[in-house]
Amino acid sequence: MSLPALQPDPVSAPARTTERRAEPRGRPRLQADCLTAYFGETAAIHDVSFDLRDREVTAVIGPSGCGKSTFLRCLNRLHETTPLAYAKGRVLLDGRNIYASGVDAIRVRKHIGMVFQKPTPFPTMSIRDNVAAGLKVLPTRPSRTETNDIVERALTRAALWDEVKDRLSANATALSGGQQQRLCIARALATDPHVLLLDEPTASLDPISSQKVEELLYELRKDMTIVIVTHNMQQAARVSDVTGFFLMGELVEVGPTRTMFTSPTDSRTEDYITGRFG
Amino acid sequence: MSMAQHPQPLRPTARQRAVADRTIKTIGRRRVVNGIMTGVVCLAALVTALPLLFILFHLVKEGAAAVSIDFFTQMPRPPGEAGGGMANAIVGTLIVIGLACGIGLPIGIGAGLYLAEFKATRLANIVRFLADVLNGLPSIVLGIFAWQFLVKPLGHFSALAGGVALAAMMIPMITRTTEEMVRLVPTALKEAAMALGYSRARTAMTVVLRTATAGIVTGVLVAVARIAGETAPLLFTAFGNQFWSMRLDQPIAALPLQIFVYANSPYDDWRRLAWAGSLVLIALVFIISVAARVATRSRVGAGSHD
Repeated sequence: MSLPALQPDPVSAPARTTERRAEPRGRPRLQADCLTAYFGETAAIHDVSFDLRDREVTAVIGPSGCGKSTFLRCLNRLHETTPLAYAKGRVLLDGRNIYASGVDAIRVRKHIGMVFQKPTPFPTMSIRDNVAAGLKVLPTRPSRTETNDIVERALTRAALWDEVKDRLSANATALSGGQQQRLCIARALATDPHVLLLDEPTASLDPISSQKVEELLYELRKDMTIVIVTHNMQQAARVSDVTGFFLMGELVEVGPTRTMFTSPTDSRTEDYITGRFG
Repeated sequence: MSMAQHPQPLRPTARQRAVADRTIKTIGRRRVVNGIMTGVVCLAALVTALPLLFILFHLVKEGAAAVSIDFFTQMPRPPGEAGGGMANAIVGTLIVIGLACGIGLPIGIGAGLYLAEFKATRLANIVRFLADVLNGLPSIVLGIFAWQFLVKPLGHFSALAGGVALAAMMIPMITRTTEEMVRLVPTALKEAAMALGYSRARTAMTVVLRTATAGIVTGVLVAVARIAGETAPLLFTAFGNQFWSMRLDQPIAALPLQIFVYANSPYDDWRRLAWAGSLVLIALVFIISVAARVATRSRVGAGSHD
């Protein structure tokens, strides 16, 4: 059996990981504290405490149904929009509990960007209007010219500007799948959030589009907190600084991605990473 | 090819040969049955299309001669006087349909949105059931209802009562189509809007309804086409009017009513006008459908919506 050959090769793949570690670690931007999320009676995640730091990409891995998406959806209080779903515990955004009574979930979501598995451009809107969609609900709506500037900046950050600058008023559904996903990233970036949540953002994309999104994350991490849920362990190894492993609703282990993929402390993590289940 | 490995074709088994023999023996009979069945279903398809073609042909034959500029611009004339038109009835029909849409669209679409967004609530289940019942209600009953609650208390027939009666017909149709169309909008799209910090109401208005617009418009068209030709609900509400009237609180002429009166009359001139009226009514429904379809297509494709 040649198991090691099947393993992701985190040591050689992200050559940049080595230089990354030299930087000082960012402060915790988003902290889950004893977070438990329910669907009706059943708890999808149980008692999760997880610090997500600034200027780091945190990957969340685990087998299907382990609660990693639910965890992500608790971080911007999207979980509770599902009927019968609710969460207990605390999530601190810059030290303030977003689950405290009196906190408006809608306001929380304005400050946290999110990208989903399938590209979700609004099909009735143009490319420009899609990017500007989040600006319409900000307390101070930018003017038309400001909006144009913001749209350009967001599309540039999402590495899509050059491809769409001549057809901003075209319908967003005219773009390819990979472009649509970068459009969704641009839409999430337009409101300038400090946190970006990505739920398997490359699962429905071809390898080249996936690579573009990964490169994008590497750029964005310079001034953001990024959390990415992924099924693809090579991807986790490539893009993330920290990895958290979920199993059956529990956060089994958290550690620097390199350590997690080379010498995990928990045997369950090792079993999953070496492909023994999941 | 794989056959190259079997230079000798495999010999059929006894069973295969029996099947082949039977096939050869019955092939003639099966061909005949096939031909007959094809003919039967083809005939059924033709019969389905036939009434419409027949109606159109007959309408054109009887009515085309009476459709002229006068028909659209002139008022009805007393029997015996040649010429005249149905200008008041055409305008009246448009007004009554407009009223029905003005009342029916917001209520129908709003109710449909509620049924789709709060689909499991008790109220939703009750409303859904009642809408289906209302949908199957004979239209004359709706006319009596409007008479009871609008005509009788006010003391006279009115365009408004006609509009209400037709709106009551439209609402359940639009409610159910809207519900179906809104349910087709992917949850992922709603969540994307929520994740941007859209409230539930804003998500429903700017993302969900807009995405479902094309389907809803089609549903509305079907509803308008159906109510445009309704006579029964207007009999004791809009009532009809021989004179020019655009007042909403007065009896108003409508094409179906005028056709009803003229077709029942003993005068040849009037009966010819009834044919012409039928033709125009059908053309009106057709034009509304096509125009609105074209309008939706270009709107969904277009970009900016500031």
